[in-house]
Amino acid sequence: MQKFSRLAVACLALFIAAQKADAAEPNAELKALAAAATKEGTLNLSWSQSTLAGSQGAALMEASMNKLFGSNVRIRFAPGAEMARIGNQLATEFQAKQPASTDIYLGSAAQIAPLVKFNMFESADWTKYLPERIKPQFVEVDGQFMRFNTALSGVTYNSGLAPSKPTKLDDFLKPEWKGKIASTPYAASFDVFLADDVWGRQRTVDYVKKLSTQIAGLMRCGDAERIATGEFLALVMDCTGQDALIWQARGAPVEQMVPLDAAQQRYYYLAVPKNAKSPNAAKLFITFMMTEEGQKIAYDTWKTDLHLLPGSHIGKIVDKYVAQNVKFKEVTIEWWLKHPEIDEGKSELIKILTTK
Amino acid sequence: MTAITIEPPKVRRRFRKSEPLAIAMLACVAVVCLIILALLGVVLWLSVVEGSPGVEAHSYSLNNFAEMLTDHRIANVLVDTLWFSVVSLVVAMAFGLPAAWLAERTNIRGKTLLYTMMTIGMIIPGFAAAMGWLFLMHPRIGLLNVLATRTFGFTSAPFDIATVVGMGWVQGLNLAPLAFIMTAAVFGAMDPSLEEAAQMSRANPLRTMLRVTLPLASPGIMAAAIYIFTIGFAAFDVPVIIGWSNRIFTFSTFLYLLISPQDVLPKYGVAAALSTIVMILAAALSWWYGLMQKRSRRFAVVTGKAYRPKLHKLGWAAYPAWAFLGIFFFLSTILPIVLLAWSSSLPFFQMPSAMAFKLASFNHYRSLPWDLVLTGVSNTVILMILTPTVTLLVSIAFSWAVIRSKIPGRAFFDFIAFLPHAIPSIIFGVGALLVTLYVVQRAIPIYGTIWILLLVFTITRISYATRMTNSGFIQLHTELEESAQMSGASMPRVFRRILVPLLSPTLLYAWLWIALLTFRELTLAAILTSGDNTTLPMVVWGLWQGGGLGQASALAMIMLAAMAPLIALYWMIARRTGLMASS
Repeated sequence: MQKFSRLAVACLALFIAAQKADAAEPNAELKALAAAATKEGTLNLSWSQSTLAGSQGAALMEASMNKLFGSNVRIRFAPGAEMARIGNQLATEFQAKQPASTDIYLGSAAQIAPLVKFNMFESADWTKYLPERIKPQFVEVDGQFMRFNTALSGVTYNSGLAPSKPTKLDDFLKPEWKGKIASTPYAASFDVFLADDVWGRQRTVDYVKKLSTQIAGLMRCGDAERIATGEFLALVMDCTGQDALIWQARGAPVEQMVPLDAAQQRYYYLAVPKNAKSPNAAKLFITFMMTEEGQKIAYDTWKTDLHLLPGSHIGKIVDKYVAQNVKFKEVTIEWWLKHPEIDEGKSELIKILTTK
Repeated sequence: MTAITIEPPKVRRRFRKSEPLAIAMLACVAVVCLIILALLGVVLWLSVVEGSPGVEAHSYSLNNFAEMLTDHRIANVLVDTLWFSVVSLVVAMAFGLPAAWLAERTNIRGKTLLYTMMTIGMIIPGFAAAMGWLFLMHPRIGLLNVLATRTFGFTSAPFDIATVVGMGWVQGLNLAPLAFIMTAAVFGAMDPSLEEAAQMSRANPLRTMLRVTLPLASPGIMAAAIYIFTIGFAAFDVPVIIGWSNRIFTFSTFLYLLISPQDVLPKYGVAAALSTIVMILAAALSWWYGLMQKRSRRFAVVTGKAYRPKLHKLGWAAYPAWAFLGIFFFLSTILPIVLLAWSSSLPFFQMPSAMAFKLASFNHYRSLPWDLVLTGVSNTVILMILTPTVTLLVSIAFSWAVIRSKIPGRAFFDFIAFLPHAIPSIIFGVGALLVTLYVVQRAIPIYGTIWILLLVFTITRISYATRMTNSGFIQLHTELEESAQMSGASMPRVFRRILVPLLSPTLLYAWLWIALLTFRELTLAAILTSGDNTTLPMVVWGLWQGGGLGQASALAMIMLAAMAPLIALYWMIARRTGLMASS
């Protein structure tokens, strides 16, 4: 009987191992993609050094992707400017029929929506590469943009130096915050408020005008070291909440406040420009980012992953808020495109914020 | 008896324009002039174009000017830029001018040390100095402010670097070495006879300086001031590091904002309209500068064996003079470097404390994106070698055409060669970006390569290089060339054996100066780099922008260390040859 039990356990272990091996084994489509990517050899990437740990993150991804898919692709990473500026550069290069300076564009709906009209990104049937992980709802605008992580917008602040603990956006209009806070030069997250089904233009402009008299300067999302050092005590509003987690891990007193009355759930997307130098390597990389390994690196380096995937860390945070009856506005590219009033009002917000 | 007939030598007073070298040089000059005009022409054209330059259906109007004039930020930008330029100039002159007078017109001891202290600051790129000063005088995290607040109990920070005046202070300190070099050249070349006459008339040194020295030197000083003012007007790195995050935009940073907006595609048309206005301002400044230069020459003497200016005896005043020089050295060089070093050693910037010292490490140095840094180093080194070399070759051609060729319209070449100094380089950057993207992309695919950087770096350095080669050619009398021609030397041989060897100290000095400027160039690189062609300053800026303040400081420290031998060589040659960076 004991022998039989041992045999059964061994068989079960073998079965599980075989199942795992099957799951890790790339399908034929993915194999072909990996081979084509290997043929291209190099993948050029550019985003901010603070995004996905920049060059160090790229090195981790290169090793893990090649190991997982058996490919041999070298990633060349160059720290880039803001997502919008890289998007502008890609659009300019596409219009001028030049090769794209980066093989993958990483951006959120705010940066991607103005680029959609150029039809400058490749459509792909992403689900065929990783059917067990990539679901059709992760892919937007005819297969051009892949959601790969979730961000919860709010305010990143220095909890050690903050004059009081903020709980809502109006707190930052109080005199004790005057001259101590920053905003972004691109009105991050305020743009969503412009939509008619959120705050609408008038309320948003009024708030931003009041805030503009409070702010000391401008900084980029991801530049949270400025919060950690105390150069600014808060970033109103940030793009995502992950910076607080990153800096907490480094021992800095940085926290994020999600305004419960105006909670946003945004996505970051990856897309391949039609004029990319290595389109197959780019597709392979995007596919990799949707694997368990890719999501783990995304979380380890940037403290964010896609909340819709099993085992997501951000998913747990989202669940916690949902349990408190917080209703997130889900900001997708398709939602953005249905709200032209956002782009109409965004320039006004930017002018207000960039004027002293 | 055989009659000996001696044929007279074939004397050519001027080289024939049909000589291959002459043709090549004139062609080179013509091509470069065309490139400069094309880059500016594209900017002018764009200012009246509506819509994106890549779209075929576009129309012409003055709407870009209208949009520019109705943007209430533009007036602020122009006022802030002027104010910033004035403050930069005042600070640069406040330190540079007295130091130059001390160096050239007094018997102060230790002039070698004085020159070192005044010029070593050139190794610090503007962006690195700005980073250091931000850590020092930021109202909340600035070391000086925190110390002052803790020690004296101030309720608010006594210093604020994040203002137009603060930015001007940093830029001025950065430009003071140039002010020193330029005004030292003025004092060095000034006719001393009137000063001596004043002293013979028992005028005291102060009175002599106020009533004789300064009025005599004023046109030269004014020319230097205009030159420095134009640099301040076009400055990018200090305003982008300090001003950008504090909502203070100067012309260059605002132009950058327009061509990299966050809400729509780049507004090239509005940027071009603004550039057009600035071009007009630049032309006016350029005309004024030329006028001052002409006036300053009236007071110069041809230095020869008999020329020996009488030096003022400083006596006890040498002590405050050295204190003044020490303060400048401390502020312009020591402080920013110490602050950068401190920032580069910490996980995030904080006040010195036992805890902070415990956290200090070389982690930022180790964690630098070394692949990228090496790409930046490799591109920068290539550009540092090629930019001065190509610029000087082109400049020799220009100077030959202007000074020696006697071809009609040669003054026009000189005017074109001076344009890149008068017009902010960011305008040339935008012009080059658009020309390479939309006009010549198929025939000459240089967008995204270091060749576009080489082209624009060369164009923007031509003004300085031609001033150097022009004065070199003027100093060489044509008799030497004519003698060589009478002996049957060809034009290439005359260049190889006579002109180039005689010009070599000037050329070497100019080569090093341009190499130094190329090493720290950020403005054009910010417009024209796109990954593969990144340069070292761009890597620093990329890290800074991406929130890697510690890594950016670490790389800036490495850059400073790498620049030190170059500046030492530059300074050594400048001293040995007696040349100064003149306008």
